[in-house]
Amino acid sequence: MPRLACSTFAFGPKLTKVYEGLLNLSQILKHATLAGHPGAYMKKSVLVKGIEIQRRIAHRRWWLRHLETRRKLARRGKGSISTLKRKAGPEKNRKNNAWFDYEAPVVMDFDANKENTLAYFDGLHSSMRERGSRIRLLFQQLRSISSEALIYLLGQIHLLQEKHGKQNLTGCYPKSRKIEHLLNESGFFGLLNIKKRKVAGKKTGSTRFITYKTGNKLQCEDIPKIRNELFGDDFEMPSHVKKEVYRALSEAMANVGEHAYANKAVSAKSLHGRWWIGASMSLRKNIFSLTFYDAGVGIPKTLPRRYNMELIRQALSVLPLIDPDDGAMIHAAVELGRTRTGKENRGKGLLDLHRLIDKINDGKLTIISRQGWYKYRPLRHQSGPMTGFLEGTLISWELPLTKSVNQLIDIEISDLELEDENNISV
Amino acid sequence: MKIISVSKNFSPFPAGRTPADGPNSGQRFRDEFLVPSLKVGPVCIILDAEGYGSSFLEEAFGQLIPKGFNEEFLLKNLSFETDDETLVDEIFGYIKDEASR
Repeated sequence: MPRLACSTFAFGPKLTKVYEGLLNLSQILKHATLAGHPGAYMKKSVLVKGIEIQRRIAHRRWWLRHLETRRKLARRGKGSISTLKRKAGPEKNRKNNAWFDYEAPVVMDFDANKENTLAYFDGLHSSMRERGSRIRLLFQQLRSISSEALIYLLGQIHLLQEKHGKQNLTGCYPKSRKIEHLLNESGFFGLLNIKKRKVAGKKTGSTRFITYKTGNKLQCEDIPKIRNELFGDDFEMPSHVKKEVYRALSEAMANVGEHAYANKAVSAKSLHGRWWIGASMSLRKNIFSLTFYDAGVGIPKTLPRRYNMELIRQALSVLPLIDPDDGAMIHAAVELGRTRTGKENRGKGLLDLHRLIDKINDGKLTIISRQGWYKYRPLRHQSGPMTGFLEGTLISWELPLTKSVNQLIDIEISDLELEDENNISV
Repeated sequence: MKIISVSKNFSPFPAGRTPADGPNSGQRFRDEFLVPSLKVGPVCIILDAEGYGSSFLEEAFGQLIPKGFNEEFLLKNLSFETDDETLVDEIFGYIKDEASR
């Protein structure tokens, strides 16, 4: 025994420390015996060799025991050795937990690529519903995404998370840095619980996107916050535009609470009355846009409830359509609000969506709901059907910056030149 | 004359029609501020809040008619302080619309 004490001392404190957690003194003795140095002063290499031999023997014994167990099971008719091998291990679980990669189209825009964008969301829902798989959203091909498509994407992610569980939906960093900047700013990564990373390259100062806001009640305090976040210290909205923006958004929120989710079976209580707002600004295009989305039943479905059919027919009589499609129904809803011919005191909310455009006398209002769309520019209405289906109602205002905002600080020209090489639209 | 500042006395964020829509609804403004004040005498309203949706304005002012105030009385006793004259026209439009029903 005194010899052992000496041997520990002989290896030096460093080596002793390494083996401290692994071996006790009797084990050291055993290894030394195996190596042919019983209890003598052991060299470092001899001890290491002994440990290696011990490990191999232990592994061999375990393997033989393991094989014996499998043979026994095979004899009892519970499968051959090969099938047992196949069934063993986490292979089956791995298959269930596999992520199904779901790639976004090259352009996500309800203007330029409406069919493909809607088909993407349709496919996303059916993939989660029918395959029961875990979806990973990929953006490797995505070169351009409009602010409306981005807010719709965030809203749909929220819905899918509530329906299928947060753990079944994730995303990847996109290939394009500019898209990553945009997704970063909009709150996409936060929603999917993905850690934001620092993106190389300069962030463009000419394009801004605010983190989306969501709620399920009238949260008008958020409206000035959105404005301040978007324009910062560089821009200021004239008072009359501020009031119109407040009016349009507050009425949109109120409409959601009153009509949008009526008669809609919502899977989660937190989704009832929910809306999403996003805002973006592009100095290169000289526009700022506001997007409002609710996942309710859609304007065409709420119309007969809000107005009597006679008024709807009267409003539709100006249109060359006998059988009104969803686009015509949105048109009628806006027209009824606009002309204020209704006998009821209600239904003027859509009028406020128009006012923002009318007041500035420029810009564009777009409403997409179910299978119809409606566009309004000062003194010009357009509406029509579409092949895809949009869940709920998506409203967006596109306003010219020069007419709606006062620039307080000159933005560097270099910022404008740095605008997305991939031609990102916001 | 009683002066009511919407922003200071009521809320800087008025919105919605009924209390079901939110705490700063047109119905609450009408019942808690307009009706009691109009019963006493003329009222001047300072429209200094963030903005006003049509549902708030219609409920607060248009629905004064069913509460027993006639159009003539309201035109005489309601005055507004605002930099947006179209808002005043809109409010009186709602009162007229409701009176003609």
